[in-house]
Amino acid sequence: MLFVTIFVPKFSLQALFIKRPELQSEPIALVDGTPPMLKVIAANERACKLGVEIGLMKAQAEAVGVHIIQRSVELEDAAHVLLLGCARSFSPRVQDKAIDLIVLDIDGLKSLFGPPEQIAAKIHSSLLRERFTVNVAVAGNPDSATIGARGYEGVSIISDAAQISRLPLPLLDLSSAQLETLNLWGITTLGGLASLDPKALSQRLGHEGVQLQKLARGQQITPFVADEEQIEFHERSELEYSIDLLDSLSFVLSSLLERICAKLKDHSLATNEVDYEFALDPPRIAGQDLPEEQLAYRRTIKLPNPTTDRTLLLRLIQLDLQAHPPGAAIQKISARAHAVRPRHIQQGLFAPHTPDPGKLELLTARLADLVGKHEVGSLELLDTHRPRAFVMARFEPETDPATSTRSRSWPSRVGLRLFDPAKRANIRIRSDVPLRLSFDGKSGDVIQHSPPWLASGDWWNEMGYDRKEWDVEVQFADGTKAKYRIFLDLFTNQPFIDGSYD
Amino acid sequence: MSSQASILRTQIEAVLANRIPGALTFRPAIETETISFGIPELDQQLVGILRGCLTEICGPASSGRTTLMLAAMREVTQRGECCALVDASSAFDPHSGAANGVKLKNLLVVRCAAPHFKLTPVDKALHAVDMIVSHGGFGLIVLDLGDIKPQLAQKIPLHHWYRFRRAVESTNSCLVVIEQHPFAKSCSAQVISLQSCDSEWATARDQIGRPKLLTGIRYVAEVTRSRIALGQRKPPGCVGAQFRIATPWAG
Repeated sequence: MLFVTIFVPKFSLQALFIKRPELQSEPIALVDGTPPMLKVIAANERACKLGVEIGLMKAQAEAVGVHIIQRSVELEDAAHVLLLGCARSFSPRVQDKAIDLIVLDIDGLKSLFGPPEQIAAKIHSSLLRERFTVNVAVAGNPDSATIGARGYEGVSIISDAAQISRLPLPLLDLSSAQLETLNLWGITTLGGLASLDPKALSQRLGHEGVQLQKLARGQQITPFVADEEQIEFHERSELEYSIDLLDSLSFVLSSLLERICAKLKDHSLATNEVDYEFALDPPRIAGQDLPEEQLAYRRTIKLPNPTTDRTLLLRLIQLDLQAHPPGAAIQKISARAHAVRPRHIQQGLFAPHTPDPGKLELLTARLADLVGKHEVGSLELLDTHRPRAFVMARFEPETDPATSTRSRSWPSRVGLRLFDPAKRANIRIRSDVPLRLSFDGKSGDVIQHSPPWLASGDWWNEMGYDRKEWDVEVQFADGTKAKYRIFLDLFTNQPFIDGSYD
Repeated sequence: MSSQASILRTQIEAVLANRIPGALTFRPAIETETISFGIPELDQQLVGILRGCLTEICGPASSGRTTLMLAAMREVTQRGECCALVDASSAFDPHSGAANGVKLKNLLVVRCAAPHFKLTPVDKALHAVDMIVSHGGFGLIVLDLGDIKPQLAQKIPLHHWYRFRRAVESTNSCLVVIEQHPFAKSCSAQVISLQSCDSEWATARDQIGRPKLLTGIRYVAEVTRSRIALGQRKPPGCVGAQFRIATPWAG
């Protein structure tokens, strides 16, 4: 196995210079902290020559005449995304160890990029084009590659432990106590630590000391765990004038989604989740600060099946906006698509015909727009004896042909038609025997009935029920007969018709 | 004369080609697939529900419309197809569906009874059916107007039924309408009228001589209209079947 580690020295400064390259020629000191306790966290060579050191107070740094800039986490995040993207363009197996440190597994890439030295050189030059000055090291394990990248400038190949023996001890992330102890023993390099007797080291520094020695000897102590690839495609647009019409907004959104879908297609990926965010421009009263929720509008569209269909995504967002309109005109628009592998389904010749999964989401969104979000989907039964215990769930049919075969034959059973909600009725009951039923302007005599069935439960919460049920057959005045399930709510002593057997 | 007629027909068809392809061309009847009900007495007598057609199942309350609808849903969902139920009065009971073997995961339910500032439940149901039919891919689409008063259902404009008929006729879907009286007129390929015959109550009696449980209902189904003949054509009104369905707790 071969690993490459990319280390970006003075990452905060480099992130700044990528965005503002004109500052490279000036003495720059980056400060961070809570005002007024702002301290220097990084400085370029010109600033160092003027006497600026890490940890200096902002006022002291200003006194020597350097340009002071506040550290920007946004710039660092953007630079890190750029760094990760570049690393992923070489290997799919990448471990993001720190904001300035990335480890790649380059095993098996020889046929694509050449021998390890060439891969490291290509990574180095590729990052140089992105204005990163990085150290790249190749080694047989990720720990040695990391030490090499931290210790040597430019490209280095660590083929044996002797190559890292000259490097200083602080590269190993020692605690101050451990460093002081080792310095007292006269050990300042990795080679010195590697040459100690492990047993004696264990007695004095414990297990941690042995682990440090393994690192110094070029051995691996932490496993390489490739990150799950979370690729996102992000597009944003700032508008010259605020938009308050859906048609105009759709036009801008369409171009944003088109760019995202093009990127997805370029990477042979699709998306199953799109976040979109608007910066709003609500009417303001002078001197009054508005809460965050009035200034920003965020929504997420989720799809059961990944897609790259711009029209489908746009229509889903339009329907979502119609159902949940933003409260003010829109100034900025941004959309972020979470990329996943597209789903390919091999349809069988004899497989049942099912709705197009891509368009099904659009259909359910349109239906939800018509009848309401909670009125469309597939019904799921709840594990309780409570009457009408079911919820509306997302409609995701089982399209797997393996599950579509008939497992057993089902006999037909008499179905119940529910009255939604249960219908209030006048029911004459004597000694638990229902005698006459009146509802909706018609009435009839009960000619057959079952004995009462008592049901109660959920008394410990607000869903509690306590009722007495009967199945009855009623003959109306016009001679027609019908079968109903009636019940008496014992909390309120009110009679209801639950539904009819049909 | 005949050549002039054929030229005229060609010209008319050319003008209408974009809107109605082959407007005056005779289309031979194609053999229609059916969905059985899974009820032996019924399947022996009736042809089942016709694919690519509009079928009306009508009858008064407790006449077996829901039971027949659940049987058709079971047959469709159990073979892996999807089914859509547009429920104008939100009357569907999923427990009854599960007891009948309907695979609820493959059943798209659209409940239309919730109040709307502009649309009535029937309007919403018709819009929903329009969307589902034009989307395609559903083996069975049920429009349940069973609890809608006939006076209201009668006011549904005929063009809705005509459009539904045209939309499903070139597909593999069945469109079934549950209602109290048939309203689609000539747009429906088949009308199945149902009536309740008698109910069965457990004969065992309790201490004071009352029957115990409703154990089953006998229904009578009759095909009162059928436009499509499968095999030998039978005159409408003559095809009927009596069948008994047990209640879920009857075993």
